[in-house]
Amino acid sequence: MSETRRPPRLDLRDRRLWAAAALVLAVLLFAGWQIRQHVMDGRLLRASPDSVLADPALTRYAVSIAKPAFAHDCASCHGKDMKGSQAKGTPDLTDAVWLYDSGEVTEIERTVLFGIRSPNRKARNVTDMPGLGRSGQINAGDTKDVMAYLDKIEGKAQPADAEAAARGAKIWNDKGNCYDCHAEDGKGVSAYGAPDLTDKEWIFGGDKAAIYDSIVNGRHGVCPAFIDELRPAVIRALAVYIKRAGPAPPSGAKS
Amino acid sequence: MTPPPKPSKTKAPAKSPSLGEASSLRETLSQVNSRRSFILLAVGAIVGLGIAGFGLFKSGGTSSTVVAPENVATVNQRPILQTDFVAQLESLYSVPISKATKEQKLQVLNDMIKEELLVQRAMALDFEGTDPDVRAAMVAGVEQQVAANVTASEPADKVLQPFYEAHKSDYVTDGSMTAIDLILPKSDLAKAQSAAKAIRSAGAANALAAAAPFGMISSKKLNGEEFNFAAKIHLGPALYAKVETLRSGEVSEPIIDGPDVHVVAMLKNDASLQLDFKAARERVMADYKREEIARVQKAQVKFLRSKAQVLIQPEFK
Repeated sequence: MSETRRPPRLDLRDRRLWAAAALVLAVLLFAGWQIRQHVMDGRLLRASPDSVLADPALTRYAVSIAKPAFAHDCASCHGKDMKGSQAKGTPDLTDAVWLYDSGEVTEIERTVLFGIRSPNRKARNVTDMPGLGRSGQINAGDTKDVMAYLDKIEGKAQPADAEAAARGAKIWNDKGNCYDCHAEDGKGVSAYGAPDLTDKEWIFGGDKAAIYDSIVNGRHGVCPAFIDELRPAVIRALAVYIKRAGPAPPSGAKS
Repeated sequence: MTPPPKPSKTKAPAKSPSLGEASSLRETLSQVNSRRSFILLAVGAIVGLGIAGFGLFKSGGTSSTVVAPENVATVNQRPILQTDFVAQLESLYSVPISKATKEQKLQVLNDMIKEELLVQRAMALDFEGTDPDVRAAMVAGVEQQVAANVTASEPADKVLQPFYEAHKSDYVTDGSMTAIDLILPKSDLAKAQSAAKAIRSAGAANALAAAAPFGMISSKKLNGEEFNFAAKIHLGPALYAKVETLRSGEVSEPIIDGPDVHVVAMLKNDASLQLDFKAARERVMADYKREEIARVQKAQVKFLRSKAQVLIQPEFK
């Protein structure tokens, strides 16, 4: 009877050697991955923030590290699709409307780093929407007049009550002090995050009840600061990722 | 008949060159020299202890000669953030960093380095312990830092719902009322009753004219259409409680409140309506977080106090 020749079994010492070799290989691969990450982080941070989107390799890297970070830290408020939520008062990050500044990568990065009305001392925190009714600054009748004025400056199809709108304009520039933040024409001031009230974009909802609530009770939306939560390259990547999600610039150059 | 011999288990299989090398390596490594092992172990331990001791007792501490990419500079290992540099540059020169000149960047950088040096000097001089403005800012900063986790949290509905149920009366729509509050001294109760009848006949809208012959005048506590919560403040809780349920057009009976007797003509009453949890969720969340922040800040002070040695003069205990 002929023997079936089997390959020799490795004995215990051989198996240990191979295991050690596999471990060393895994460590080397991990180290290589970490080194690559470190190098790419450095490239991402050293590049001019507003030019990252012009570099496809850097953009790809930024998206790869930003996507999981966004899902973990931002999506709970801004939504997985980045469209925000009027119920939570979180803005749509995919549109062209920015509360603060003009939506450049450095500006978005600053918001992610220090937050809005967050406990961080460098947070964007110049002002918020006060509860004008709650504080007694204006009464219920004044609120309705201001809302009529808002209908007028927003150019709503249904004409506002002209007399109420005229009273509202006076309150806007006087008792209500609305012009101080939202400007005389209602177009807002991006330096301190006072929104344009003449566009159709509403963070907390544009229906009468929501606007009434905003004026009477105020709004104090918060974005946390991530400077101590995420490493700097991830924050830069998030800013690039968010910028990239917005509409293309008017020149048509793909970002 | 003897059975054929079984193949020897120790018989070496046919060797390929790689298997031969492995066998040789195995033989080499199998020659464990325990004395050598112990010597290597001891050398490794001594070298490790030496490195640890050097690092522990050397006063210089850790330092880096490289500026991390997220910083523009470090001053005694304290970083100046790139983002702060950009913000400062834009604030001072109103240009984005890509358009700033080298001189502008250098000016801003030197200003920030100077600021950092002076801040570090102030810390060395213990300004934070003595300057009242600095102390106030530090207290505020620590309180905010304690509140950070609560501020950033998103409590689930199952956490907010019990809070809403416990404070349900706070979550109502902001009703409003337009009313005229007329007064007389409480000794003139009979006149007030006559005035109330006259106002009902004339209609609430004509309350002032109808009440004038009886000497009733407006208290001026209410001004046009008022939020219910404002009307409550202006009228006082006792008087408000008696008029809040008046329907539009209704006139109250004379109500004695303090030194006066009041008759309230309700022109329009948009009552507050209870908000359900979904409608009130944002306000519930804000109120819940406010209470949570107060709780954690109080707990933090209690904790710090328990760990601190606080000595108080006997007369102040």
